[in-house]
Amino acid sequence: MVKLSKFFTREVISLVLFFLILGIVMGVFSFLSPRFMTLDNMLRALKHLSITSLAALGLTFVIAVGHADMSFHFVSCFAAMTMSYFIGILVWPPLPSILFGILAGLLFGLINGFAVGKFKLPDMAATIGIGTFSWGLAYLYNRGNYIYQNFLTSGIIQFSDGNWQGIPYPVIYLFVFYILAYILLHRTKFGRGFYAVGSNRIAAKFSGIKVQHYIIAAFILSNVLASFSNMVMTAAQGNGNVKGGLILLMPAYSAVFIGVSVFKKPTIIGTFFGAFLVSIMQNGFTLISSPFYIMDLVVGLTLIISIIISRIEIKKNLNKTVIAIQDGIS
Amino acid sequence: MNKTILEMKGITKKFPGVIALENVDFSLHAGEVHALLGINGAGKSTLIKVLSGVYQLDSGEIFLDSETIEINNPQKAKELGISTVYQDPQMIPSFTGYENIYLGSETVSRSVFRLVRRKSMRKNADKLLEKYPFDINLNQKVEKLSTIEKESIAILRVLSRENTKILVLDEPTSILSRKEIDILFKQIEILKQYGISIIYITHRLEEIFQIADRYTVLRDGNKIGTNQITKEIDKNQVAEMMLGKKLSKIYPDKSTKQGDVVFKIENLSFNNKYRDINLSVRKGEIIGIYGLVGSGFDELCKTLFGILKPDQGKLFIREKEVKLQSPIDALENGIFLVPGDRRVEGQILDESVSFNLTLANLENISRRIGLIKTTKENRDSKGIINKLDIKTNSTNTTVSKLSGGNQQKVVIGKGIYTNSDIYIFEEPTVGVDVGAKSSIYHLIDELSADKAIIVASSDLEEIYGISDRVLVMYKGNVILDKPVEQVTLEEMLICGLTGVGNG
Repeated sequence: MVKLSKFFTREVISLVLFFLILGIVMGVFSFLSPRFMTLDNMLRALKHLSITSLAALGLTFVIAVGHADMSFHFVSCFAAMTMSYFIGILVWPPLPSILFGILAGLLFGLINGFAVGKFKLPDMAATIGIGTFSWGLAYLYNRGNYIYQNFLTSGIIQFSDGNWQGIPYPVIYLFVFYILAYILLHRTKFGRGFYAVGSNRIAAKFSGIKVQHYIIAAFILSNVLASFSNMVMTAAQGNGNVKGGLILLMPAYSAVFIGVSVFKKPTIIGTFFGAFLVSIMQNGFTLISSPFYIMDLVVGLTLIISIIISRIEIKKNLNKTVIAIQDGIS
Repeated sequence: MNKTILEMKGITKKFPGVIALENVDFSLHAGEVHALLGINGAGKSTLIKVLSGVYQLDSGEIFLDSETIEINNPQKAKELGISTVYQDPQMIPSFTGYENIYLGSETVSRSVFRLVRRKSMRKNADKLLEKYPFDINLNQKVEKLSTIEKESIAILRVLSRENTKILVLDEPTSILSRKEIDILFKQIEILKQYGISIIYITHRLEEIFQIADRYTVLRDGNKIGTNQITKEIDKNQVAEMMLGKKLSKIYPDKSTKQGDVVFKIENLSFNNKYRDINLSVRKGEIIGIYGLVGSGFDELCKTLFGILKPDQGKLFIREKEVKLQSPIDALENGIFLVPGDRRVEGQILDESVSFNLTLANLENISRRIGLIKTTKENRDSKGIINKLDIKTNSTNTTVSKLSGGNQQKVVIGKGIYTNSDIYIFEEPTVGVDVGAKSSIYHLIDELSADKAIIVASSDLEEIYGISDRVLVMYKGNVILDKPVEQVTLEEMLICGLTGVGNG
C-alpha cells in the first residue's frame, strides 16, 4: 500500500485523470458524429487548437507571475484591426501589416505591464480598463465596420491558409511558439524569474530578481501572442472584425487552469494539454452542430472545475503555513 | 484587598517538538497590575493565548472567582470578562472612534432595515468616557489618530463590554513614544480604580517599576518566580531571572583571526528608525547587534542590503564608497542578507531546494543566452546540501516539505552560493530547533573565516554567544558597542530593555 501510494503521486494521478477525461470526451464525440475521427477534421481541430493555444500560451506567463490579464482578448481585436487597416485601407503588403499588428499588441502589453508591475494598480480592474480602451480604439479604424478590402488579393490569406510541406502554417506557429516558450520558461534562468516572482515576490526581490521586468515581460507576451493568434484568425476569416478576438478569453483561461490543475502550477505543457482539451470540445460541439451557448456553458464549467482542482493542494499548503506561523509566534 | 480573582494552576501546553508551557502557576489579584516578564520564547504569549481561548491547554486548571472554568474559544473568554488588547490593534481607519468601539455590537433600530443608531452609539460612548476619563476625541476618524489614541480606543472597546474584569495588555508600549507611555499609565491608573485587573506583558524592565504591583518571570516555558515590586528591587536580579545562568554549549569556540576592514558604515540614519550608526566590520570578524523587535536593527539590515534607502550616511566596501539602490546592487557589491522573515523574504516555498539555492546566483548555472546548465545546477546544489547538512530527500524536494531549520539552511545556502564577501544575518535562528540552531552557529563561524559578518537578533544569548564585538540598539540608537569579552549578558539585557548604558 505504501509503495502504491508512492507511485501514485499527485502528478501521476492528475495526468491519468486528465487523459481519462480527454479519452471520454473524444469517445463521446466520435460516437455522436462519425466525421469527428477523420483526418480532415483532426487537421481542422489542430488549426483551431493553434488559435486557442497561442492566446493561452501568453496568458500562462501572466498567471506564472501571479497576476491576471483581462485585456488580451480586447487588445487582440485592436491588433487585428490594425493589421486589417494596413491591408484593407492603406493597401500595404501582408508582412509589414502583420508587424504593425504585433506592434499594437506590444504597445498595450507595455502599458498593461507598467500599470500592474510598476504602478502596482490592481491587475483585474486595470487590465479591464486598458483592454476596453484598446477595444474602443479598434472601432476607430473603420467605425466598427468589417474591413475586407484587399484581403483576397493581398495574400494575407496565406498567413493562415498557407502550408509548408503540407503542414498548415498555424500548426507550425503552434509548435514553434510552444517550443520557444517551453525553453524560455523551463530551461532558462528567466523562467526561474517568472516563477519566483509569482510564488513570492518579496523573496524574489531579496534574491536580486528584477520583479517589475518580469511582470512587464509577462504582459507583453500575453498581449502579443493573443494579438498574433487573432491576426491568424482574421486572415482565415478573410476580414477584420472588431469582435473577432473576444472569443479568446474563456478558452485561454480554461486552458491555463486545466494545466494548473494537472501540474500544480502554470506550465507550457499543462497549457498545451488544456488548450487541446478545450479545442477538442469546441470542435466536437461545432460538429454535432449544438447551439453556441452549449459550448460557453461547457467551457465555463471546465474553467470552474479546473480552478477548484488546482486550489486543492495550494490550500493544504496554506493551512500548513498558518499553523507554522502560529507556532512561530508562540 | 488581595482577593485573588484569577488562578491558573499547573498550566501545560505542548506543540509538536516543543513544550511551550510546563506546569506554570499564575495568579492575579483583583485590581492589581501584574507584569508578565520573559525573553522571546519564554512562553508569555502562549500563556496569554491559553487564557484568551486561542489555544487549548493540555493540562492544568483555571479558576475565575474560585470557580473552575473552561475557556474553549476567544468568545468564551470575552463572555467571562477576560479581554486582550494586542500591541497593534486592528481597526477600520475610515470609521470614527466610537464606530470602532462599537464595531460588531452596534445598536440597531428595530425596523426591518436594522439601521445603525449613531446617536445612541455616541451617547453610550460619551457615558463610557465619563466613567473612564480618557483624553480623546471619539468623533475623529481613526486614520487621523496617533498610536496611543488608537490603543485607547482598543481599551475602550474592551471596557464597553460591561462584564470586563481582566484586561491583558500585550506589549502595549512597544510602539509608543515616551509621552504616550505616560498617557497609557494614567489610563491604567483609572482602570485600577474601577477594580479591573491587568496583566501587563512587556520586555521593558523600567516600566514595570512604574506601573506594576507584582511581577512574574517565565523562562523556557517554566515559571521562575513571582515577586512584589518594592523600592529596593534590583534590576539585575530580575534580568538574571529572565536569562538564567547557564549559557549552553551550542556556540562554537571563537576563532578570531581578523584581517582588514571590509565594510564600513558612517553616520547612517533612516527615517527616525535608527540614527547615526557607525560600524566597521573586518574580515574574519562577527559583529553582533542585539535589540528588541522595533529597536531599528531590522531597518538597518534592510538598508545595508539596498532595500531601504538611508536619509544620510555612507557605506564603504574596502574603503570605496558604494551606493545601494536595490538588492541587485548589494549582491553585485558582494553583500548578502539572510532576512529576518524567512517565509516572506527568504524563500520560494512552492519551489524546489535547488531552485531556491541557486536563485540569487543564476548566472553561475546558466550559459550566456540564459539556458540553465542542469548538471551543474544539480552538482552545485548537492554540494551545498552536503556542506550545510540540509536534510532533504533530493534537490527536487519542495522547500515547504522541509523542517524550519532546514528551510533556514536553504536560505543560508542560497547566500553561500552567491559567494559574497559580506554576510548579514537577521534573526538567523527564529523558528529553528536547538540542533539546527547549533549547526547554523557553527556555519556562521566557519563562514567568518574569510568573510565579514553582521548578525542582528533579538535573541540575546545568540548575539553574546557568537559575536566578536557586540552592539546594543535601543529605539534606533546604539547604546553599547564593546568587544564581547568586556560585556556581560546582564549588561546587554538591561541596555537593550531600558536603553540605559553604563559604559
